[in-house]
Amino acid sequence: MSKCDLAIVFARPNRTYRGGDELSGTVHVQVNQDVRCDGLIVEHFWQTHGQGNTATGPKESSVVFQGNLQAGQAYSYPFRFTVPDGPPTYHGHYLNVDHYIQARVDIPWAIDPKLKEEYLLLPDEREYGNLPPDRNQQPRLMGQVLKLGLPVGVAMIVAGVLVLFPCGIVLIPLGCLVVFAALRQSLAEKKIGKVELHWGSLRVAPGGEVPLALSFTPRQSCTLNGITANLLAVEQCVSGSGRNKSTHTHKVHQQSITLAGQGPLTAGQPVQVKTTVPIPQTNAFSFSASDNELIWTLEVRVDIPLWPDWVEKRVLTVRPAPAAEIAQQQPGQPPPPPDARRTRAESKAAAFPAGAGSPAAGDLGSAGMTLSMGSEVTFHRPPPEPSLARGPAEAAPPAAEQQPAVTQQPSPGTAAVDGALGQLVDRLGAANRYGSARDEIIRQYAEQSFPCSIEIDAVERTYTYVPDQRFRNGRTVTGLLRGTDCRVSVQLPEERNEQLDTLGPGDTLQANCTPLKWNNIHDRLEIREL
Amino acid sequence: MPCPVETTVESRADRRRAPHGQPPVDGPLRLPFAELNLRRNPFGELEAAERAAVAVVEVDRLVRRLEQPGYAVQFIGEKGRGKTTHLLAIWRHFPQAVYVHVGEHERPRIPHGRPLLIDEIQRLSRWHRRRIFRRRVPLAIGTHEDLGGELRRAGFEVQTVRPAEALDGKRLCRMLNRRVERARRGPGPLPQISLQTAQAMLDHSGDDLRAIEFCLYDLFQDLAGIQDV
Repeated sequence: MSKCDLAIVFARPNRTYRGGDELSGTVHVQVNQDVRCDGLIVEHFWQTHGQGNTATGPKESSVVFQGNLQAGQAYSYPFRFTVPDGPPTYHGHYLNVDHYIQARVDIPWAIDPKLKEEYLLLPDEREYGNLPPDRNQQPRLMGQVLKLGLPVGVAMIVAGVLVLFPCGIVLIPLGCLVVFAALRQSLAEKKIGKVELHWGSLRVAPGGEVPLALSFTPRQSCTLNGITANLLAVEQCVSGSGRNKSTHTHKVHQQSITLAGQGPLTAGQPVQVKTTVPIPQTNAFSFSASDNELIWTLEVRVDIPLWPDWVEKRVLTVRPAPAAEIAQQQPGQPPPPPDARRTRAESKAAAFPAGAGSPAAGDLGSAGMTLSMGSEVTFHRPPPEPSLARGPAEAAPPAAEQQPAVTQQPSPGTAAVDGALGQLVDRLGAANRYGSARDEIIRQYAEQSFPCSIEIDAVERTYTYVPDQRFRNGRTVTGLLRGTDCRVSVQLPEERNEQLDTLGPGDTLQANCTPLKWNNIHDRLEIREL
Repeated sequence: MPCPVETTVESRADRRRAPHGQPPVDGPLRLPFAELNLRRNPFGELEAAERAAVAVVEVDRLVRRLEQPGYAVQFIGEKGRGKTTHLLAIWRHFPQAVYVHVGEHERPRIPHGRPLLIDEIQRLSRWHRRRIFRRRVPLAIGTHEDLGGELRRAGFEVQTVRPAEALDGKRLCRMLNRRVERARRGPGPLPQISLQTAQAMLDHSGDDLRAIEFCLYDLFQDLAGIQDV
């Protein structure tokens, strides 16, 4: 018999919480033998279970009692914690993520009686960790193959032939495979020309969409088997270590979307595909911890018959988003209420009505798919919502009315990307990184101001020379323009230093800014607060 | 190789599956495996302490001898045969013992403990092993290779145990049901693994306990309600 029996009772019988909620309850201790208790410790943490080695999140603990426990007595101790923001509870096939309250009686020189009970953490829009680290990056292995594949493959062949022959002959086919993997894109582009593929934001919510724009001009006339986008979500769990290591993979979701069907390509005739890839409604959010991962990837494949395919892949971050945002991204949903956040397409149409120089044909955020080949441009666009008829003045409040504000948490009702700013970001994304096209675009917007919401990565002193005295001793905030994958650095005046020094990575900065230039070295947009 | 045991009832996966080949849409969140009166899948990966707690091994005789210096027991077998489980079961009897798992290409610092429990010791270099054996503390080791000669040369009295040899249907059945019991959520019935199933697993996977666990993991993942497996 254990020295004492424990029971944990939650204040909420359904044990269901959201990030930031107060979690309270009581630990009941029934003592079977007299014991000296060095501490009755109550802790809360998340933990994985399933086929992977157990990963445990950071623990927060409190000692609710210290002293002697007498046999036959029953004690009750209340506890109270703030529920963490994530990761949300997930129950999959090989991977499960649960949140626990654990009570442990610390008894010297004996096995500590302990008990842990789960509670359910619902998905919430608040920021949390344990998401894939690389945004807008290729999967690690593919990136390595593209970078090092050619020299490694050649080295393997040379070593197989010259150094290790005849035993090393096995290296020759392996080396050929590595070289082929490294050269595949180049071989494909010999036929179909340089392929430009622009991804929209790779941070997306279930029910949302990932915009894609692909264009190329074939060098040779040939036939195409098709262009597909493959969306894949897998649970990947590792059990054991060393030679005992086993990797378990389970497909949570797999979907192949045909972007263009079979057809002939004519040399010199440009091909453009614009579409959005829908993310299904699911609780399988991206998750990354040691030996336990849930990874979403999106692969675009141009299938060329009897020739290496052109393939590019990205890791998506699928995470909860504000309910309003998800609802608006669902195709076929009724239009959102007037005060809800507008979609980027609506914002753009409102800010750039027809005839006002809107490059709408190139919009990544358009809901329909556009496939144009050569001069026969086919355009499918959903009929405009009634709200689209609104003029720019009505759609976007004047800059003077926008109050710059610094907040610790994003305010759900604030538009993350203004229509005109979204337009600018899309045009920058579509422009050639290494030419002067981006600077030219920025010059066109130089006189405009945009309300921006920036997810902060770092707040630093402004080191560059700035002619305007107000900014010389100010701060520069680097981060991500909320709702996009566009990196920005914002110059802010000295008068805001005190306020900015309280902010850190993960906080959100809201400011009214004007674009300055494109920084090619850091691949980011430089803006300044007005 | 397919698992030899199949369930005929509607599975958890069937109930979760969306109609018309649509992607899975998760229902409302519930406590995991509550319908089986379990806290988790009993055949998932366990932490070391948990694995020790569910071990069905007879180590009492070894424990008594491991209190004497100059005694060493080696557990020999391929992966998934129960070496680690035996070591962890011994560990539970010695609060002052130290358990070290040697990872691939690792050269871990071996702390002082009495007895000293070292898993995958064959991964250490001969020179490194010799230094450890010079400490003359009681030793329990898990290894893929027979290190009896080295131990004897270092002056140890050696006992060799091959955990897989003692495995039969009855013992396996007891081991598997102990794991189910350990995952119990509350009072009441639990899914039970029958002797027949245990024997079928043994015939199918031999003494590879890890393969048996993987197979039962998938089986429990699909189990819709409490029933004998």
